[in-house]
Amino acid sequence: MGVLLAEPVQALLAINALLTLSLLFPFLAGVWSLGLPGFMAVGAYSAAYLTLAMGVPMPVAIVAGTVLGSVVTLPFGLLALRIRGIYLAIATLAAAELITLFFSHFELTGGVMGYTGMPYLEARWLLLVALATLGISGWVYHSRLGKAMKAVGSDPIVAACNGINVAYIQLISLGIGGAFAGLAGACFAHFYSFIAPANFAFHRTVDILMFLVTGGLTPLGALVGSAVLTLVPQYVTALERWAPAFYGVIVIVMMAWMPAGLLPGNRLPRWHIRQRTQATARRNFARREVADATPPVPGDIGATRRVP
Amino acid sequence: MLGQQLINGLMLGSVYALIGVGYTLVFGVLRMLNLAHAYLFMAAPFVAFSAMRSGVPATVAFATGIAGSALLGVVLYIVAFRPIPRHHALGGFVTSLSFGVALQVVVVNAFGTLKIPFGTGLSLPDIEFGGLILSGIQAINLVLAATLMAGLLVVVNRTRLGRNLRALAQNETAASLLGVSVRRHVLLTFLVSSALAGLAGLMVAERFGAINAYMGDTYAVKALAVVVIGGLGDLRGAMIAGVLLGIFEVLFQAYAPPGLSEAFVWLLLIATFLFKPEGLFGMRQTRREV
Repeated sequence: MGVLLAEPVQALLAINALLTLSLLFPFLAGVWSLGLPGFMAVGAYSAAYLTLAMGVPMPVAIVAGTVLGSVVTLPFGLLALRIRGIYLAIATLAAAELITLFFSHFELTGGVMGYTGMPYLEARWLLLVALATLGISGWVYHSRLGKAMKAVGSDPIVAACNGINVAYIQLISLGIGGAFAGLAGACFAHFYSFIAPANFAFHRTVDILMFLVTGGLTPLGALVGSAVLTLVPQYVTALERWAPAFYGVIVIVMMAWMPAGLLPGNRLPRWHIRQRTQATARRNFARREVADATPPVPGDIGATRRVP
Repeated sequence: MLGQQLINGLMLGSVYALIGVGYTLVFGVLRMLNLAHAYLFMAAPFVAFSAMRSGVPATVAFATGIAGSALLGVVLYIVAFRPIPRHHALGGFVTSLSFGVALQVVVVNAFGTLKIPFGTGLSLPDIEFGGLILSGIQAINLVLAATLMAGLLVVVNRTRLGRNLRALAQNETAASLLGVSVRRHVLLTFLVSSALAGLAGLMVAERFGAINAYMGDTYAVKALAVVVIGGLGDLRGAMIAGVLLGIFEVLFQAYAPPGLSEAFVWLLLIATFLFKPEGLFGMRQTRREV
């Protein structure tokens, strides 16, 4: 347990949890955003600049970083209206690369040499922020908006047919993701008191992606995935050098045997069906089984299949 | 001066093109992006380096490097693509990335993170024409890359094998019903694309005289942009976009303010998305779920 009391471990846990949650909503809505380190960099640099150069109090600066992280997703989100899937992933990758390039050449915040001297934020505040974000995520996840995101993510055409504004939902999900990433960045900047463009490189997306895939596409899944994969290398020190390889093996094994992750979210939680009588639930279940047993009509191609 | 820059650009461009062709080949057949590609690119010089360290002549070591990355490509398919459910949204995307990262960690733990000098020990005469200098190895690399890519185009467009591959890319079920062995062709695709990545890696290693576990990262990400600019799944597009991008990047490096040469790729990518999302040579098509 001693490890859990160490401040760097707590901060790492909190920041990784925040980042994984920031990836959750875009992925839920089918927006495969790889722009996370870019949005995180925006949050980190803007919050750091506000506290250091403008003398803004830290909480205000962190909130500003969160908002800016969200705002910067807007132009890339508008791209999302035109493209999807893998193309979108590459477009957001471009976003992240452009943003880090910008900060490498932006002299006001130190360029490639990095920016240092931010006031220190204690790790317990980071944990508190992460917990609050988890609460917000849970709330959004179970709200109408969260359900709309799930619908868009599982099938945009069906979602649109049911009156969901697909583009709008995707834009919102990307905005929420950007806000969380900006928040993570602002916390990162104030805990480590040093940021450089190299902190926001592609490898960060890779780690977070693995956390999310292992945990599953739910807020709790994101938390569990990030916490477990962050803590295991801390406990097994022999693993430290091999940590990314270890993540990689876990992800491949998970994908093969549990593709939905540790805590999958593709069925409604129990309390949503509580008001139904047991009999109705049973009848509906029986009906579903009959529907599953009937062979599909030839030519009835689901909209998710690809059109050759 | 400009001519020399053009040659450098051509070298860089052929590297992008070789990597891009690998991405696009696999994407065409599987409709999945193979993100481990960049790491195979990095692995080949390390295999060649180990071979050379054990006293093998450079040419044999190069062949070993290419064979090594081809073999790793096959392992990649078996480990990271075969067991994954095909219609999982993130499927191969995440697993191939994981495979690549694991490979990188293995290399880091075996060779460290520092730059390792990579010399071939071969001495070839420089070719000089009109004041331009082309080192012998550069010339060989260029010729090799050009022949391989031309050969690939011929194979894909003119032979029975290529027809099978194109059928597979169009509709897997129909192709397999007509007797195309899916598994064998996919394996072959991985073999060829990884071998090309290995060759590109060796070209870069030779060009800079040093190798590093992270050498694949920047090239990989940029080659991804190349593939999209050329049109995903379009071989010719990837080649031409790769070469053009290499030339532009070198010219920007020489004549434009710093930072612009790197940003150029991404700006061009976004412009492609905005104005010609189907790629350089893509036909307008109905929306396709990828």
